[in-house]
Amino acid sequence: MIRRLALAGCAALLLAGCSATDDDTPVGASADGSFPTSVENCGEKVIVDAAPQRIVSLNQGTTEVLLSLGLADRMVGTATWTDPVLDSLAADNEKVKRLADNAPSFEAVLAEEPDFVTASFSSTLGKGGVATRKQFADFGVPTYLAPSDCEGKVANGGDGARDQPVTLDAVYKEIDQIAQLTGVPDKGTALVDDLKAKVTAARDSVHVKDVSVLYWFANSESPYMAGCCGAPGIIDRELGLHNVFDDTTDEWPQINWEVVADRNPDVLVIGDLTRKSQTAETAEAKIAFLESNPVTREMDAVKNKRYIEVTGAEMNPSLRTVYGIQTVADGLKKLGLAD
Amino acid sequence: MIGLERSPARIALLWLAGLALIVVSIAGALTIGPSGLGLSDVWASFQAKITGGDSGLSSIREGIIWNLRLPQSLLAAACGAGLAVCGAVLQSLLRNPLADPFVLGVSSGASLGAVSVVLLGVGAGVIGMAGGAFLGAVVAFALVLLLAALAGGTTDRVVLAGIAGTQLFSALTSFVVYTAADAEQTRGVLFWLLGSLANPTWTEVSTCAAVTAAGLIVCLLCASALDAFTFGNDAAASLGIHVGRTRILLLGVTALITAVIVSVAGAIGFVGLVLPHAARALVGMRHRIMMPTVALIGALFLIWVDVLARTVIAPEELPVGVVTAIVGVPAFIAVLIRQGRR
Repeated sequence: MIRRLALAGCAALLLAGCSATDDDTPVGASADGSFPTSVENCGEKVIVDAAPQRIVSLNQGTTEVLLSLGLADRMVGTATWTDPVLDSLAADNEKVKRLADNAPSFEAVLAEEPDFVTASFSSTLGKGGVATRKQFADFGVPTYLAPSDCEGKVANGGDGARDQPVTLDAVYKEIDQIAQLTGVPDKGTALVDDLKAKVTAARDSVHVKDVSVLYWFANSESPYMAGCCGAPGIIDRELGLHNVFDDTTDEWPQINWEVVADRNPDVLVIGDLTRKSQTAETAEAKIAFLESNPVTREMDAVKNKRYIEVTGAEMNPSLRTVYGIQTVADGLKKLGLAD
Repeated sequence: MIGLERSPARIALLWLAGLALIVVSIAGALTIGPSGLGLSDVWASFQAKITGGDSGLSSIREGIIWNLRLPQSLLAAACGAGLAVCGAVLQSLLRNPLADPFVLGVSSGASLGAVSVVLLGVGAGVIGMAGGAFLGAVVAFALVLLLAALAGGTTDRVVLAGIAGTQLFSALTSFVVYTAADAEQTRGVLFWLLGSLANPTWTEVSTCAAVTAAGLIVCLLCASALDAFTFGNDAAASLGIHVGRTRILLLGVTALITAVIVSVAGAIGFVGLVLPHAARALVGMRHRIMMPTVALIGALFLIWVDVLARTVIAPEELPVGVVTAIVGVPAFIAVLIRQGRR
């Protein structure tokens, strides 16, 4: 839910705005893991002179990419956690200092003397976030921003809607570029291949009949439901599901319960979040609401308890989205809605 | 108190002591922060700067002291002084003890401008968030003045127009945030609504300082007019003051200072509302004396509030506007009680 309109925030902090050109190929012959190396990233050129040894990751998305690349030994800090770390990365994550559960102050990050900083969201690297990319650059620290949070700006004109669906290619590109900038391009390729295999496996593991779904991220008063084109759209396309709100291009529109009940989807995919900033964050709270509210408790999916629980990270464009495809596929099978 | 007011020597001494205290406070603030750089590190670095030697600190750590903590403390001083002076001027001008720099709708206008740039992408990349905030502040101020003029132009109409404007811009800001932002971005724009002195650039610091200083000088030149305004427009007019013209000038100056400060640091509440009362309790009502005093108090206050804001929940940082009220209200109550006993 983090990205609706990501572009606007991005534009505010990167004077140049975010480049959506295709010119993202590595500059120089550095894809072999040699340094210095550079990439074009969200309208800026990121130059890394030597293999980073003190990496700070400011969001969970890039943290899990770095951990998946086996770079825990070269990381000195993580921050802004929204979910528990992926099980397979938990041991490695233990080795890395958690600077803060939310956004750390700029000084707290600099105190680790980082030589490379990554973030998933432009708001983290902006005014009101930790610090701008320029401020990091002034301290000689190169920054990398996940392309999934800045590309598409030209495509949607900055109005907060996505008319171009986000795809996993943005995630793969993030992995490739981080791998290149940290000098482990082969591991990046291997990770992308592994994720692609996981997607194929998840897709092939089920044969879905005609099933309609909705994705509820959080908030019970005015719930955030997935529109057509965010990370849940990736899950829909891979599994052949029909999102009852795919007529809205907003990434996470807030939708009236009356409309939700009226659309009456077969299955409710609900976020099981660990943060505590809004109402109905956990799956338990969501289910309690659905089954007590006089409007929603009459929905077919609620009467038949057809819920699938996913994490927040799986509903944001990240490598966790890949796991989300499998989670939803398994859920459908369990509910008897797929072969 | 009367004696203090009439004795130039004691006033000068008070100001000197205030200035010295500000310098000491900024030096003290340099040694406090989440990275564990303390007095000895700062001293070593300072000596190295003077003698051209080597402090033994890495360049990042040097940077934390001189390019992170120092500009932030200086910005705190400039914003504190600026907001306090604006509050003092507006309270006299509008003859309303509850007036503050945000009564003219400037702060909510700035928030709307900033939020529009960030969330709607209006002019993004050309003017940026600070530019949007500044434009929003100026437009809001112009609208409020127009509204006030249409309604008769008396001081209470200015206050009413300001309140109406504030409500309108706040509602529009909420509308934009609600329809266009997600949780992550809401967090990003929240600091406009709560205020933050975190990580200013040197340009921002010098802009704020210059505008505050220039504004203070203009206000000091109008000090006797302000004294007269305290007794009402008729009294001021009978003393030969161009009431309308002077009021527009002073309103414009305060709006400009506020707009610049809000565009850099967001809406820091409380300072402009309460500190002028503390200054009056200390040195009396005469503006020539009261305004520099309130500037010193404001600077001193915000330097230390900022230190608190960046240490209490370290390694995270609290919005400074949250701390100003929590720290300031008990202090203000103490001042009020002391005044009441007199």
